[in-house]
Amino acid sequence: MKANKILYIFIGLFGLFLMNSCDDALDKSKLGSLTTDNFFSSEDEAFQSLDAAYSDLKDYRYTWTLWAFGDLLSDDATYSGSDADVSSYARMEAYDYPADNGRILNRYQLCYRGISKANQTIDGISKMDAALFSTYDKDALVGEALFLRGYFYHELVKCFGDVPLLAKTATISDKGMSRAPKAEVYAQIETDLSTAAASLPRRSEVDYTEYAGRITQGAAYAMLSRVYLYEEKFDEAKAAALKVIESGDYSLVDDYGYQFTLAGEHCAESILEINHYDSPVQTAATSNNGNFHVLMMMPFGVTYGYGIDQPYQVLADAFDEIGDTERKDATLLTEDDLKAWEAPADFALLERNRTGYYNQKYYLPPSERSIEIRNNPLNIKLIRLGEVYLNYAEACTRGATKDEAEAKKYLKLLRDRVGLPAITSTGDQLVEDILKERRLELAMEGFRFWDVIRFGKASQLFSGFTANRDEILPIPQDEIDRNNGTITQNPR
Amino acid sequence: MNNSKKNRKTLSKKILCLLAIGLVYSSLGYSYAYGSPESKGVMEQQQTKITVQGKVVDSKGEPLIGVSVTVKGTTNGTLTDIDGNYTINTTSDATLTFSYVGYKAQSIVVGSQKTIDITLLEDAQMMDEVIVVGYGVMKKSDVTGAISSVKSDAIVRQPVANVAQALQGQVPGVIVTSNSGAPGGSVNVRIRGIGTVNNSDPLYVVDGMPVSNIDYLGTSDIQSMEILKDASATAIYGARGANGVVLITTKQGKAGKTAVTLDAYFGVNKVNNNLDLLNGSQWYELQTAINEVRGSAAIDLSKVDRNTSTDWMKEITRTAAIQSYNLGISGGMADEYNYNTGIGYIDQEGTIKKTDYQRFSFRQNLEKTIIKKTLTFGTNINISQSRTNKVLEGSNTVGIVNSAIKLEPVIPVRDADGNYGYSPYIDYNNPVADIDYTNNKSKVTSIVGNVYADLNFLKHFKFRSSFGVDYRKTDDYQFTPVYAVSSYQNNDVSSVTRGYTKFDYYVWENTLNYIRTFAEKHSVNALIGYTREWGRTETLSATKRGTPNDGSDLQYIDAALSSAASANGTAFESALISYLGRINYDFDDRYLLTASIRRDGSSRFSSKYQYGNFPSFAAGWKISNEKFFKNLNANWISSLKIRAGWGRIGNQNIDNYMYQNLLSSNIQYSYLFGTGSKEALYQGLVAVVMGNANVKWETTESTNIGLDGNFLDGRLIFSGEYYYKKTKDMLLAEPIPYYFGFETGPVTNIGSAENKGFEFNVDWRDQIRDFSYNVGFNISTVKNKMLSIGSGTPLAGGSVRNGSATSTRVGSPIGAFYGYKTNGLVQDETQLAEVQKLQPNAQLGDVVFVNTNDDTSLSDADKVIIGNPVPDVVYGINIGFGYKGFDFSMQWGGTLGNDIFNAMRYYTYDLSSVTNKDVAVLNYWRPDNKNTDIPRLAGTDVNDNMRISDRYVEDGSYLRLRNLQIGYTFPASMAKKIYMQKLRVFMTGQNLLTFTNYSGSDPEVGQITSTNYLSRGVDIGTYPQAMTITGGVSITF
Repeated sequence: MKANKILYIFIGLFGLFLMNSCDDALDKSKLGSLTTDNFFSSEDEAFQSLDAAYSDLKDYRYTWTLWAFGDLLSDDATYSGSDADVSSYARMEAYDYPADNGRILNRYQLCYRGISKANQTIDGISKMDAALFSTYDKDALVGEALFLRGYFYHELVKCFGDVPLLAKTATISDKGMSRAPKAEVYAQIETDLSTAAASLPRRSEVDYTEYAGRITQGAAYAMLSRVYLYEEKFDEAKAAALKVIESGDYSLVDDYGYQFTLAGEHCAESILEINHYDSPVQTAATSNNGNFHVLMMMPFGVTYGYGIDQPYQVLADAFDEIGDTERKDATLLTEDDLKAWEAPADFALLERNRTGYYNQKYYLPPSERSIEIRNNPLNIKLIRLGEVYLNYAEACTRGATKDEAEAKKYLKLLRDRVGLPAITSTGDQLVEDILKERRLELAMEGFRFWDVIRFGKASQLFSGFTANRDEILPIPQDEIDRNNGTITQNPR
Repeated sequence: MNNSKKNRKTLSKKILCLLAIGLVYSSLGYSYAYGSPESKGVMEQQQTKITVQGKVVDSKGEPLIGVSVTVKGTTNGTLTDIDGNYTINTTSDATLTFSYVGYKAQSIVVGSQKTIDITLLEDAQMMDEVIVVGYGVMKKSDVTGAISSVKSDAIVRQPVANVAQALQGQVPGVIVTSNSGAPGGSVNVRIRGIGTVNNSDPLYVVDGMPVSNIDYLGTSDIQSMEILKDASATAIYGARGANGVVLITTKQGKAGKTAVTLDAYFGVNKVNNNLDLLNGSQWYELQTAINEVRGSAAIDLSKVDRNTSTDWMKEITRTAAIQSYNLGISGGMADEYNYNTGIGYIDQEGTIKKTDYQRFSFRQNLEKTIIKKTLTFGTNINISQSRTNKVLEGSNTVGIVNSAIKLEPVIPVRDADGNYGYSPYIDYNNPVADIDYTNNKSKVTSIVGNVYADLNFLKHFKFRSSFGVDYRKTDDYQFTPVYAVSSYQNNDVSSVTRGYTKFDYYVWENTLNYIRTFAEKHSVNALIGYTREWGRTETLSATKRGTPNDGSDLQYIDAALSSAASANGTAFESALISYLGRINYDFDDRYLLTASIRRDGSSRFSSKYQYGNFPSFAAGWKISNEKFFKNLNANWISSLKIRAGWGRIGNQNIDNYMYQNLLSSNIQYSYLFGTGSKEALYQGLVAVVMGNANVKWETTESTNIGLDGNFLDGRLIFSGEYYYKKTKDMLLAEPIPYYFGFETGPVTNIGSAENKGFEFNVDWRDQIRDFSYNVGFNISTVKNKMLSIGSGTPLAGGSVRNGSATSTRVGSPIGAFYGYKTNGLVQDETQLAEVQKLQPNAQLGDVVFVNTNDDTSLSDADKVIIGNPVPDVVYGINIGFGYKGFDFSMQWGGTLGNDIFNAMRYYTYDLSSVTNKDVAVLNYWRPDNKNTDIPRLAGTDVNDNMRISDRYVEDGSYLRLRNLQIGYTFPASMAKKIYMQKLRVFMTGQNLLTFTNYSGSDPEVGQITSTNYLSRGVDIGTYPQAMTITGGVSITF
């Protein structure tokens, strides 16, 4: 009997346990994470989506390409540093672009990542009920994302020519696209930037100490002026630049070099910067919000510097040619400068100084450098008023409706500031002088290579450059491989 | 005397009955000695009465306890006692039969002998050995699937911390490779090839319970391991059976006298280092020569001393100690209880400084009968804690071994002032300093075990319910002090990292078994079951920086002063619901049929694809039991069985939640707004991985044909199999175009791969008087091929310094090496002119790359498969001898036909760089030395001689003396004097000899890391295996 009782209890308990089981035990949702199904339900989430859309801008792999292409492929500077660093970029500088070069992939990949995030933000916020917004302006948030999409597409199109165009969040059915003609991409960029400009606030309308780093109407028009120049739509470029100039929100600072110092961040001349800080928590190069390039450009050997970006003597000569000491001093860092600023023990370690110059616009003296070597606080200047003046001057000179006087007026403002005589040339010479002025005013800020190409002078100015071939970089080989022939390579 | 006669008869019957029971129990070991000298048989004939006594021992001379000694043709019999002794009253014309399960029975005519000592031979047929299968046990002779067994003695003799490592070379079809020679390092087990580009680890089931890994077990915990290889054997594990199943039975208690065992060994490890690198002056001379072609970029050799000659591998390694102790107690009483409990400790230092591994474990297996023959409760519990000290491996830039191989020998470990030396030329770390500044510890606590109840009812039914827990907690601890070796090897702010991973997993299994034989010839064994599993993983990691100093008492989060702190944490849950069923049918011990099915429901998939069905069928034919066969009188064939099976199985070794579109809040997606004091970080949220709601299991279909034979009275055992395994619906992260902007594509079921091969196992064992010996040989082949990668492009893997070493492509093995083919060096001007058409920068003495597609340029399109990391053949040889108390065993093993991608050649074969070189490069090409395959010296490698090509690929075949053991068991009489039942001393050598042509440090190259599945065979500076020599004792009290 005892045995039977135990049995019954046993079976009874088992039965209870069995009944307790139910099938929803298999529905486990991710802990500690939202899914796209339940996102975009509040304005805070809208803003969080936008934060992410900005985030690729500060990724050092993207910003690396700003100078690695804009300056190092030009006649201004060379890829220096360790022997391995030098040889890793030798083919690029010889215009024998390898399709598997890491920088080429970085540019392509990071721009599309930025576009994807902007697309998610635009698609997501657009569907939201406007009543959900009280702190933020719904249209302005979308406007910021539109700017980012336009900006990244421009960074792509100027680099690669025709590129795949996706103005919505990608789904798997978007596989198999081909490269959209440049004109289509530009049309999208124009739409995005103009729409953005219409909804964005002006710098003077916001509390800029809090807002600095976010996109304003001024940034959108400034970007438009840049984009129109690439399209050679000079009248439109002129109009867009004028919007910035006439807004009165921006003015040149007296000391040219000031704007490249920590103190000069977001000064009156600044239109858009990528913010960086000495992060207390982030150290990984790909995820931090510090500026890695300060370390990359720091002279080799000096407090861990890589010494990668070294301006050539010819750039120094270009300054000297017109007696431009002020901008030269602010742009080119010499051994004498270093000796003055660095601790003697650090300076003694300097090595591999291949050209005699370093990029001072990315230099921080020891007192301002971060202990975390990849976390330097220096912002990267994306758009400043100086460029807009030059854009305007160029548009006034190269367009169908020429206004050389107006062009010279703004050139004079720039040259007055650095104690140089006004430009007096006209016609083609003036166009040439504007290119020269861009070289010096915007030196080592990532413009030179693209400017020379825009002006059609690359094969004259860059040795080894083959016109109608080397203006654009190859599509990353990996992208070609992934697309089974739908994405074609640029001809060589 | 009638009465007494009757009593005697009853007694005899009782004895026989007990004998039968005793036999059953002795199949598990030994049992109580029931026999007593008083038990007398019935004497029908009046012959000379005689009392015979003697001792029964096995081939090693060890006493056999409980051997039944019977007088043939009578019921008279006895059992041997604990020392193997027996006494029996019989007659001179009688024949004594000695029988013992697992041994061959022997019959001896008594004659005038008064003492008959017998040595029983193990029955090599083992055909009726009982082996563990999924959710049950089975007679080996009835098995229709592909199952290999490994017994404890083959495992316990290996001085290794990881049980999986002890499996190496033991059974055909199982490739075991260590990813690292670090003590406690990860081991890669692949059963029948590589079924997927994802995780192909087998499922481990310990004492019936699926567990996450078997790191917590020691070799002495193991009673047996069964490797289920084909689908008909693994389909009962459904969605987890695709990569094979390893069933482990830990030591169980047996009815019998309490036995206390102590096993201990200690010894030393030495690194296996086959490298032959330049010494300081050789390096100096070579660099002097290279400087001549470097021109203005010549390195300044005055910065180093040519007389400094650091052997970096030597500097980072040491002769390390290993020790292990195991204490076990087991015993029990039939129908009452049994137990087996033990504690173990292993402490192994790594051959690379600052690496070590310790594990303390406690195990208790207990079974208690509540209602005789009806209800039994039992538990299997293992509690263990391991501690590991690690250094950085698996990095192709700053890994310790990687650095030690490439760093220039002219750099001193420390300079004259005692500061660490560093390269004045290149930013490669001083590995000795790296080791010194590394504080990386982890501690794993595991509690793994189950409780179960067995209920037998209605004669033929057996119900089992088992509840198990797999609990693991990993504590990680890292501290980086402030240090400065050089401008590139330094740390300005100290940091403390603490982290933990908590994993708890519950398994509840219920099975009902029905075993019955109908009409004598029809045997049925049916099983149905319902199981539930659920679990949770949680991780937490926090880092804080800036401790006031490096004192060990300040290496805690709270001591770090900087406000900079970061914390990360994740949590996952998963669940599995399964229904299973199996039927084994046996007709007349001639025809065997097995069918099984499992239906698994998994939380890893969306509700639409949660459930999957995994069926299998198999049949066996015991030819030797057929009448016609018996008529053949082929006596040399003891048994012969053909079997074949098919099944469909799954792999759900994938990440959770892949069907959902998750938003990431990684710090990477944050951005700064504001300026000055208003500058603030805003965290973003975004989807960067594309989800796929339609994701489902990987399924594998496998077919197996096998032949088991037993010849020459069981002295020769043979088994051979052929298998074909095809994986469909392989989960691949679908490569997406970069223009999608997502970081990772959706995981989709688009891949397909096949594995096929033969497996053979031959064992010969025999005995000549006191000399017993055995020779075993196992060999298996595998052909692995990717059949489809959907619409996707090839998968790159095995990241090395200058690209990817492997590519998984349709028609080639998974993770095959991929790169340019070379065709010697440019030898003369005519050839140079030709070569320069494709390699414009080539010079005399540069490498010629093959334009495989015959187009007009040398490009990525010319890359081809240049090597296969999966061996064509894996084999093992086991040899053993026993003579009186001496025993000797050897285990050889190795691979044939696999390649190794020696990524270190990027440094050691580059004739333009400053890193250390293999001595082979001294034979570089010169106009007066053209007969070489080493290219010319180059200032810069303009021809890109170092691009990924077949110049990195080496033959990875090897033969290794894995284990050699010599032991001596003292005679029982001697042992007894010191109160021991058994005393054995032994010496073991592990990895004593290695034969290979591989030029790297060691030919055993696994994956770069345990989860880097496509990096098999890529050597980026693998922690080499150790050679171990130990001595020990094994005592039974």
